[in-house]
Amino acid sequence: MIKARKLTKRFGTVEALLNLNCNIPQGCIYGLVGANGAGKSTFLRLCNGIYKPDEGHISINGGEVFDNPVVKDHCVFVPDELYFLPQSNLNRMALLYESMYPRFSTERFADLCAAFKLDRTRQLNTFSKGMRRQAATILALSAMTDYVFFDETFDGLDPVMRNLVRGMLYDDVLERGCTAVITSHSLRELEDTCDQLALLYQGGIVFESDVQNLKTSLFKVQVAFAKDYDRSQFTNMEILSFTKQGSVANMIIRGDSSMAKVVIAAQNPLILEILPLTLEEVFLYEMEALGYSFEAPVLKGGERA
Amino acid sequence: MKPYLESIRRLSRLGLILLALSFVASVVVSIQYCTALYHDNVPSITKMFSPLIAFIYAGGVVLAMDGFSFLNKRSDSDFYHSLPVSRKRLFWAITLAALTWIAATVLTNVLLTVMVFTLTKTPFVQLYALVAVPFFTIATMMVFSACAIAMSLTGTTITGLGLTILVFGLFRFVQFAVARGIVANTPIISWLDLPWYLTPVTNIATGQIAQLLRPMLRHTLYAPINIFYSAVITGAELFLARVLFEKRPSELAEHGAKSAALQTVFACAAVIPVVILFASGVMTQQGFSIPIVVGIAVGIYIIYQLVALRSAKKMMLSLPWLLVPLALGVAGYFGTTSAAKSLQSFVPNTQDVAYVQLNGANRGSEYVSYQQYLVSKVQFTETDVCQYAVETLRDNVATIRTSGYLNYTYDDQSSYMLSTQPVTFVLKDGRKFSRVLMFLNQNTLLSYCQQNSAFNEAIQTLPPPSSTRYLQGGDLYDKAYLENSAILATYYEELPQTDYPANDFYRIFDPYMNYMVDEEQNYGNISTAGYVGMMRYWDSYTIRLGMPKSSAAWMAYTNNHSKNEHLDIMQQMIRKSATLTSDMDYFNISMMVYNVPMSDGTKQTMSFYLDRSPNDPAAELKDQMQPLMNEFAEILLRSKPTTNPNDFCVFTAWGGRVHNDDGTFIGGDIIARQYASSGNSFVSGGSVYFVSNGNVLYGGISGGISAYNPSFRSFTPEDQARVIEILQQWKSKQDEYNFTMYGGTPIEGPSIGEKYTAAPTPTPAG
Repeated sequence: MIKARKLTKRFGTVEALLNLNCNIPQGCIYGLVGANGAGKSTFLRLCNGIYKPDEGHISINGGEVFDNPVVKDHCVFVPDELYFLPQSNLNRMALLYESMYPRFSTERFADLCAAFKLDRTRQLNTFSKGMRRQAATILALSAMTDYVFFDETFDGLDPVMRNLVRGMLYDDVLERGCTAVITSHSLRELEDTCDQLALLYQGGIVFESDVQNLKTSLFKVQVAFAKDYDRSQFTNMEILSFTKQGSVANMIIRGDSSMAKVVIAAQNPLILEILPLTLEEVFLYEMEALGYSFEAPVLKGGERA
Repeated sequence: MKPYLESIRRLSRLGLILLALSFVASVVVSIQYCTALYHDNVPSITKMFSPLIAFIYAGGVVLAMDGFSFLNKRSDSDFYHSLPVSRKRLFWAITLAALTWIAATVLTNVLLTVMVFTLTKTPFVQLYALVAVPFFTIATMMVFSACAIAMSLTGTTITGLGLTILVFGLFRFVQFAVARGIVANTPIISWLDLPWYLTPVTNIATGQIAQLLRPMLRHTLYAPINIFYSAVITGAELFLARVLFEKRPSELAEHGAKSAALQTVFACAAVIPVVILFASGVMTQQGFSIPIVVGIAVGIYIIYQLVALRSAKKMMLSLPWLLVPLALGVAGYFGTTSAAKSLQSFVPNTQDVAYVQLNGANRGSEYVSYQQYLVSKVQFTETDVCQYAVETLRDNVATIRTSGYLNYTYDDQSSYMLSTQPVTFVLKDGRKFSRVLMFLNQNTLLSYCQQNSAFNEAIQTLPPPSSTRYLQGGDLYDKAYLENSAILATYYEELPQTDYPANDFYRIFDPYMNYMVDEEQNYGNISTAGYVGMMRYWDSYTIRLGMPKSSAAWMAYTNNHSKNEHLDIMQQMIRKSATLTSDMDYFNISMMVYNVPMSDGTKQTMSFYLDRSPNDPAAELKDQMQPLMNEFAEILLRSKPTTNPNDFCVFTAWGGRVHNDDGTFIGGDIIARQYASSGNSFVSGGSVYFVSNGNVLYGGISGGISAYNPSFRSFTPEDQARVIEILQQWKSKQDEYNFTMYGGTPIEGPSIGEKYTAAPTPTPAG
């Protein structure tokens, strides 16, 4: 498990992360979404012991990460800006990984290279950007670590390759109990891959949830009544948002959608429609519920998640 | 182990390039040296392994820059710091990998050099090979460690290189400047007399540069203590680099320094080398302008800060910090001056001196004599020596105070006895210091030194015969060495039976003694060179009649090289020299005559000479000498080579360009033959300088012949009396000529005697 407590990292006067708290359980694919400059990359670098926290702690399996090879044996990081040895090819890079990662699997490396159809002897500087990402992913997955960190890695992959990587990640999670932490500035990139999602905003995780739960916990209800009504009519439901135009109201409700349908239907509405929300909408509503606004990012109070 | 092997692989590209360059350089430089026509001694370690001097700096910087290159790029730095290896281990893996490549390169160079020297049979100091490996490896690692520190402190290549220079050289440059300031301010302290903390060669990496600036330092550069000291410093620097590497934030990559404050520190450090010129004595000696130096310092600071801080405002705000290095420079000037005065003024009491050592007048030269080397080890505890040294020091200090320099002159009073000697004083409390003293009387010093038995033994000790590598300029495998080795062997055999010191420098000089009389007569000098341990020596031994066997061996060698003196040509030229017509014609003869019987019963070496040329203002006088020369030539033709140094004998050199009546050159056939034999296309009309064994030395177009390398020739008993008469008259005319031409009055002394007596004085040649 990855635990961060009051994690703070500053670069000069800029606070990249401020009092960040989070728990990332083992055996999940954890997505971290946030705009540019939200602190995603900084967080991953702290997770991998690249940066030393200015304040707070980050631990993996109970051990502090920074300069702790025992912990880092279990972690591999695919950064947004990739590193390869000058004039090297995949075989040479595999040698480097093999010498650093105790569980590096040459068999898996060979299998992955075959699966991705990458020439292991070709110089990496002749690869396209996407191919270089594939190469970095192959190397990371061959390291057979318990934790894999991808910093916007999927953003550069084509859909076919993304599916391929996703499949491999699933296998690792299922077969080895591996944990993957993936960042992206696009929620759509993570939506289909992750089973846990967190939103990083201005140096802190403002929202974190199970994806499946997220998708089903909020739903949109479109309702209309013959008589006049307002929000107070639905007291036994957790309504995150209520907007009414004429006689038609739109509600974002957290809870069991079938139960809500029964309760509302009992009040004889003229229209009653239950609509699913996109993950993006769920995030926005949850954020609003917590007091954040993307348009005007004002913290209205309350502790961050 | 795996990170180490990975680092080896990562550095292999540069490592192999360096190895290949080292391979080529060592072979080329060694072959170039070994195939050179002439050497007079074994090469110095610097000369032998010169490519490695460049490697110290290039290899150290390049390998460190490559090994830690990831620190200068954000993505690379992140990658390496994300790896499951501790920073400490990562640092040591890179460092040990660099050390491996460095050691491999050094070892390759040393082995190849030794191989080339061995295959070409070129003598060299074998111990150098053992010393060179640790020396150059450690020196290169010193540069590597400085670069590693710099790279741990900065995040760009430019600042890394700049800081490397500062880390590597700033402290040593300051030290060098202060040392220079002290040497410049104290006439009796040289670079070799500085306390250890001011000696530039204790650090072997910067010491290489110092010895190029001050060659006298090269003898101490390779001392094991310096190598050990540098190894300790390297270890400490690597430890510091490791700590900085561990603490270095990855985000420093692509940034010059962690903070603006640190940039200012770097800027101040960059200014120090300029302002320290105040302390070095250069400004007063070379007449540098203070405002210009300060201006340069300010300029460097401003440019550095503008580049580093990228803000004129920030630069201006940091400007007051410039006062710190400027103040250091001023403090350095006053500190150095007062330290120099304090050092110079110290004169111990004689009773506080445990012993003194005489380090040798030419200790800073490329080679020293073997006897000087031995004498420098002698500890003089004798009161007379200590007292004379202390008094001389006191007098020297007082003279400097009065005149500003060692104001002694070589005059009649001192009888040319002034002697400059570096002296080390070791006090009873363990303190030790050295000064270059000017003794008023060398004989006094030597006579005091002779109270010391170790000194007496040292000055009569010859180097172990097995240590000799060069003899008369020829190496072990050279013909000259083989031919002269018999003379040297005889000299080694004879010297212990005499009272002569091996080196004339340690002989008490007698102004009234004639060094051309009896056993003092000098037949030649033999020079040897070689090494003992790592000490290279060059000795020159005088072969006197007092060592007759050696003299005989010398004469035999000389005569053996004089197979054809062409005395017939000489005689033809002599006869014709009285009537030279061509302006270009000339003739000269000079004779060194040994064992000339004198009126006081002694036998002396005397020189006689005569030169003829047309339009000579002294022609009348020389015409009077001409018959003597003619007759002497006849006698010389009848003379026989001798190897008995007690013989009344002559050693004649001559040269000339003389026409026959028919317009041909006398000796023209020789000229033609020599040119033909030497393959030269000029057949006649050219000058030939030939040795009497037939080897052409030099050919020109003037038609002159010069004969060198004659034999020692003795006369038949019948001719001896006539030769003495000829010499008496020749001497008389020669003196007349000299006094007429150059002035002066005859010196009182014995004249040439009447008869030569073949007395075996001092012993017959064996």
